[in-house]
Amino acid sequence: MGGVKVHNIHKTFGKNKVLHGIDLDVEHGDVVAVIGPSGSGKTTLLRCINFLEHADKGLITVGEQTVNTEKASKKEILALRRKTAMVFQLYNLFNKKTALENVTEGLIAVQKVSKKEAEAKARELLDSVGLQSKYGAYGSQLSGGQQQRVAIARAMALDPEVILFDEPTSALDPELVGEVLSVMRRLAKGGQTMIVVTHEMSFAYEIANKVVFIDQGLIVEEGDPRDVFLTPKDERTKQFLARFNLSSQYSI
Amino acid sequence: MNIDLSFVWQAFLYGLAYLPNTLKLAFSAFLLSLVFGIVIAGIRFFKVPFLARFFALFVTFLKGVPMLLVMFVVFASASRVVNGLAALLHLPFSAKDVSLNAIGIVALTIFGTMIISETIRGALTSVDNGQFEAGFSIGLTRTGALVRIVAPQAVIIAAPVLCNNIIGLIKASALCYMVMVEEVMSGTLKVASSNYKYFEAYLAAAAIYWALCIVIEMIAKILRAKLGKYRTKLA
Repeated sequence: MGGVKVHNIHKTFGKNKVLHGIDLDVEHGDVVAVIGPSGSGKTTLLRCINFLEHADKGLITVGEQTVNTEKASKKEILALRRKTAMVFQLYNLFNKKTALENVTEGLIAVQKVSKKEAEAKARELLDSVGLQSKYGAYGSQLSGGQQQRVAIARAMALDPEVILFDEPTSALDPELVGEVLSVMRRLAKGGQTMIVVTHEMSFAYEIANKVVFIDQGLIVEEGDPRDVFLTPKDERTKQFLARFNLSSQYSI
Repeated sequence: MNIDLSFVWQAFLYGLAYLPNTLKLAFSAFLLSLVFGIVIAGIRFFKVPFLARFFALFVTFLKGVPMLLVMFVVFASASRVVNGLAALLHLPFSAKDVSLNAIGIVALTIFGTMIISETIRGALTSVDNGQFEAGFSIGLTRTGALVRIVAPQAVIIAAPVLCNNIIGLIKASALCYMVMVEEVMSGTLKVASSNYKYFEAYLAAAAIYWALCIVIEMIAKILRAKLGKYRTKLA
């Protein structure tokens, strides 16, 4: 059991209706790539799952806990957030904390792990993302790719049911994208449930076991990456994917 | 124009004797203002219903009033307010027990609270909202994220402005002279009342305030260097 279920999520910003009733099923261990044009609502969907945006309507289930967004209490929201972790487009590392402190923060302040244990775990995680020499560095002293890897370690530290990735490589230059994707690839292979909003089509194709294409606040097409990328059924999906010219790259 | 330098020195020493009281006025007002200012800034930052709008109005209202006027209003209404309160609560004190110093501190605190609440609110707003969101994403509560993540950054942003606010309050404390509080300003002028060498007395007072502000600026500079460590970029 476990995973993430999103049922009939609606979200409006002012007069702008962004999500028109989205259903999404993510099994434990799934890696789901959410793709779609800018402004389609992918990021909003992701942010609704951990209530950084409060959806107007719908049910959100993470692990065993279901929250009705229309009457979610602060306590429920907090409990739900504690089953998730997020990696942001602009990293959002805690500015005044070192790489190590960024990773230990959730362990110490939320999970009440002892400082010593938290630091040991944080070191292990930073090592695993290739930052063994950067424990004491502040965000401003790290490259974008390094910052994002700290952010991933910070998310991993909490052993969340799901890690939500919000365009994790969009702010990186092409050379740094690789190091972040390789960390994510390893994470996916390790069985971590992940929902990844991304423009990295090849990553979505290779790593995800499910691809969801969103346009104008609705899921247009979803399924196995092979099917969605190579034989898209919907006209809009075909149009969107045509630009990435994947069929030529991956035809047998 | 002849300046009686020896009298400047005399007035300087005389005024210096009142420096402790000027410091007492300014720093008591500063500490009180800091407490009230943090509360008001927090209420406005988190948009607490009703209270946020009330304090927004309070701050806007005070911004448009000269400090001297606040001083006079507090002075003029102190006895009535204190006697009224004492009667209402059946407490055994009256306006006679209220020192002039207390009146000065209350007036400076009203003024300081308005200014410092804006300093703190500005600092809180200038911390990137992503810091809050990252805090939420690891499961911190709003208060948790504020206390552990955002406030420490806001303090660093606010520190230099707060130093300016202290300097502002020190200078504003000279207005306490108008309601007969004994402090540096009144001290230096008192010696001049016998020989009418007010110009020399003003120079002496200016020198004291000036020296005081330089010391505070220096402390601020040291603090800034210590606090801003995490902002340094690799060369």
